[in-house]
Amino acid sequence: MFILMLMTAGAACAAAEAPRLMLWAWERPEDLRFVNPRTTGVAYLAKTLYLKEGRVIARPRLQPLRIPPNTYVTAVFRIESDASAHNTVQSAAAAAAILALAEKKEVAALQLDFDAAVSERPFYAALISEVRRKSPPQKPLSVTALASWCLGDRWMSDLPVAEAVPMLFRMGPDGPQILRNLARGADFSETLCRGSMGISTDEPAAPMLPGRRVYAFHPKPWTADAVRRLITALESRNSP
Amino acid sequence: MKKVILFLLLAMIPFAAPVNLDACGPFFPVAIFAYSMHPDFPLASFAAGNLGILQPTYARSYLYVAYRHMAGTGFDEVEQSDLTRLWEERLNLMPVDSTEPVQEWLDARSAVPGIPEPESIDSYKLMDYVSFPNCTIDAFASAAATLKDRIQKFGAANPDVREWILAQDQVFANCAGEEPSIPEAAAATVPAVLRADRQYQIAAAYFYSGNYPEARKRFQEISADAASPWKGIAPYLAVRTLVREGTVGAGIEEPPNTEVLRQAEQLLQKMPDDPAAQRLLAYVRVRIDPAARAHELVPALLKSESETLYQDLWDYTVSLDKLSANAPQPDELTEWLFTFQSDSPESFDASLSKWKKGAALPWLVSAISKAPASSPAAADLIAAAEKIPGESPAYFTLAYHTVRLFMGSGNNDAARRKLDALLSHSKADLPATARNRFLAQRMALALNLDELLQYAQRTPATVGIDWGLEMTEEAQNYPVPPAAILVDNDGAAVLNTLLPLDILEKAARSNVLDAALRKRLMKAVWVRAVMLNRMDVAVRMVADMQPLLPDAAPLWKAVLSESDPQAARFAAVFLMLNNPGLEPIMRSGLERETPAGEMDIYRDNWWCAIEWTPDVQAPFLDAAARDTATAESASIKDAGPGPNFLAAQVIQWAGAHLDDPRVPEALHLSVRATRYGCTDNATTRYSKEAFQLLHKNFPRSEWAKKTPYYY
Repeated sequence: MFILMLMTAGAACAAAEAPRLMLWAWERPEDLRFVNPRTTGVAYLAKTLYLKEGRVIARPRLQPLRIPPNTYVTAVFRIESDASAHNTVQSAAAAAAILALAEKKEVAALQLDFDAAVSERPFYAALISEVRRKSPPQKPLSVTALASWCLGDRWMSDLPVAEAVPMLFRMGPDGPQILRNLARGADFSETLCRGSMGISTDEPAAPMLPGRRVYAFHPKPWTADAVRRLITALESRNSP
Repeated sequence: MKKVILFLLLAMIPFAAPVNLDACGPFFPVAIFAYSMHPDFPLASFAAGNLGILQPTYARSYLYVAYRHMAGTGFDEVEQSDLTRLWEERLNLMPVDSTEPVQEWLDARSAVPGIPEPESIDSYKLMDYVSFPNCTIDAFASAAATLKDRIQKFGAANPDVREWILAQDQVFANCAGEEPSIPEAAAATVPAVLRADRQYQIAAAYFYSGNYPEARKRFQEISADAASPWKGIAPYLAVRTLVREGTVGAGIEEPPNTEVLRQAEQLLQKMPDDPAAQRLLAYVRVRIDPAARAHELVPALLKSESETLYQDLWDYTVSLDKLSANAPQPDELTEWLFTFQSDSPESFDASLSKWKKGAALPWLVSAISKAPASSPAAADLIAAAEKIPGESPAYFTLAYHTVRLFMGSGNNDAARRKLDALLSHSKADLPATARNRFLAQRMALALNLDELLQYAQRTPATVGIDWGLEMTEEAQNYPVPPAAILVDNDGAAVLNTLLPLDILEKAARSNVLDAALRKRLMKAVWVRAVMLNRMDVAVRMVADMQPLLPDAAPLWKAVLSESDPQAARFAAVFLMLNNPGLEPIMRSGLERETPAGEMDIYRDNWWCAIEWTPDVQAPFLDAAARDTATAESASIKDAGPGPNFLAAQVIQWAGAHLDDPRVPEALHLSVRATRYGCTDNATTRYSKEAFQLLHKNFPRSEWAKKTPYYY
């Protein structure tokens, strides 16, 4: 059923629409040439931006990544913070580092990954707005989201992003309860969080919520077998 | 009925858990009691031979140092400095700020007035999705130094100097640029040295643009130009073009082109007196033949007073990463490293065999660290370990496993005697991690409550936010050790699962415990007493609890004022609803950051459903105490998460005491707890019941107004 959904989505989707399954490719050698571009896309860690002592240190991806042609590719920008107050110089530098890749023709979409503390939300919101304003409009901009941001916390409501991906793994002690609630039909109160979900292959995943794009993290380099097992697992969750 | 909006609740990471950089934050400070990836800080102490208790999970660069100390060849000061420099570089989780060397160049060019600002310089070049450091630190430093010299010779206002800068800007545009930017040759009227500089700049531009054959041709021409100030370095740079071509020429994803790298190797071997060329040769050899390179480095690594230790160790460990751990190793050092790190049964047999043949200390360490207590060789290994003097760098490692084997064979008295002697070492002699490992062993052998409490207390090796690799910024600021005295997982597990309430109360009052820990335990025991409906204990403990939560004075008074135990219990529950930091367990590591009377914004409030996974013992307890503890633990667990227990108590009390003026507020607080605390499948039922009771019986109260939903 999941495969059918993937393939249907793949066959019908326009060039700008991400497939229903996106593989997160993090900072390690990844050979994803086995991926079927019609059904599966790749969200790769493109840069890590360290907000440290009032400046930004941008570390590009240094590990090999191989992807088949015509794959839908999302460039992910991970932001790490020293939790000090951030300034406009950092905002401009971070935006510039992100926008430097936004024009790449191979990149179809952008994603920001930042576990912003409450005090950092204004900075993050401003950064998101600047990136959205200056990046190609046909390239969607998304963010990852802590599950708590999607549950009763409304701070993301006005962000100019296409989707917020709730991270349904490494959630702490109440994670199993959240997954149980989702399995019973509960949903996130934040609408931005209702289009996708983030899972890890080494943790129990949420059920396949209808129409959700799945972003999957694998703790080791991806293999064809790992992707097959993932799809099988997602299919079984989608079964009645 | 009002529309109910169902919220899903999340308690963020409440307990001292290690942080995974691959996971999403937020990140909280943690206490690390024993490192598994690397030795204690400062690493200089390890380099000097204070090895603590060696772990097979340490990186190989540390284990190499341990091997050399155990083999009797220590390190002089220069070598120790090289070692700490290597580790600091490898452990630096924040990347080198690549803009700093660029700034040196920008500062130098700003000495020429009126020169236009260059495009921003990024030293990394992107190939498809991956980058590599294209323009190195030396490139910018060399450009800055050369420009300063040319300004001094010709003056900042000289138009040829201006052209020099513009040409260099073009060179650096190739660092990240996708399209080549090659300067024009200088006019014949330009001074000779600047014309020669231009030739060099053009060659460099081709190099950074990735046209390695053209760059090589031009560097070779420069090397043949007797008048060029760059003729000395040009041959080396020509070889560098081969190395680049062999590594990234076909793309970062492609394997190295060993044929091209072997050409580079042959040329570099003809430059034995050029340090830069020799470093490049080592770089090439690691990539062409890591196994051979690792083996050929071993003699230098085992030689004392080495001047190349930093690079040799770096290359050696990088080469080892490319080798199979299962393949036979051609030298003793490499064999020992892979064997010590292995957890296979064969690695024990191999270690034992090597030790029996030569009685070498590294192999004794490897063998005893892997020996099961049931092994027939255990007694011989222990006897050999006991002969090693206290000054030996292997002493603590051998002692730890000797104790482990004593314990495994039931020889607890011998284990205790040895541990008591070990723990008498000063903190300077015994690294924190080693001390904590010995304390864990000693705690498992506790003869009574006082010993349990004494050995449960640990000083962590570090406290702070772990950015990965068991690193905190605080650890890097050694020698200021953390002052906290805390309990680790084993101590918390014993306190939370194995001790009955009556013994816990004694523990909470024991002067054996550090004062801060005593306070933490006091709070946990008080909550347990309330949950277990042991109001005799809970009321008795109020006098000790009051100073810990002074802002709750009126609520404490309410508890004490009730003669009926169930009324006192409700008063206690009401107090707990107002103090979200209260919980029935002792946490390992750090306590909750937010004060007990305040709601935590990451939902670390009250407690979550408790999953006991005890793997600890308290042999001094009698059967009756163990049975009582088991029953009590089960009762605590069955109560579920904090909000469930609290709401259930309030609902029960409210049912029979609607005239209690605290009831409306208590019902409101119960519903609030189900929103901001942990939940399970039953929580919504409690939330709804409390909500309905409130709105049915107190519809116009301020508390009903403050409670528009249940969760």
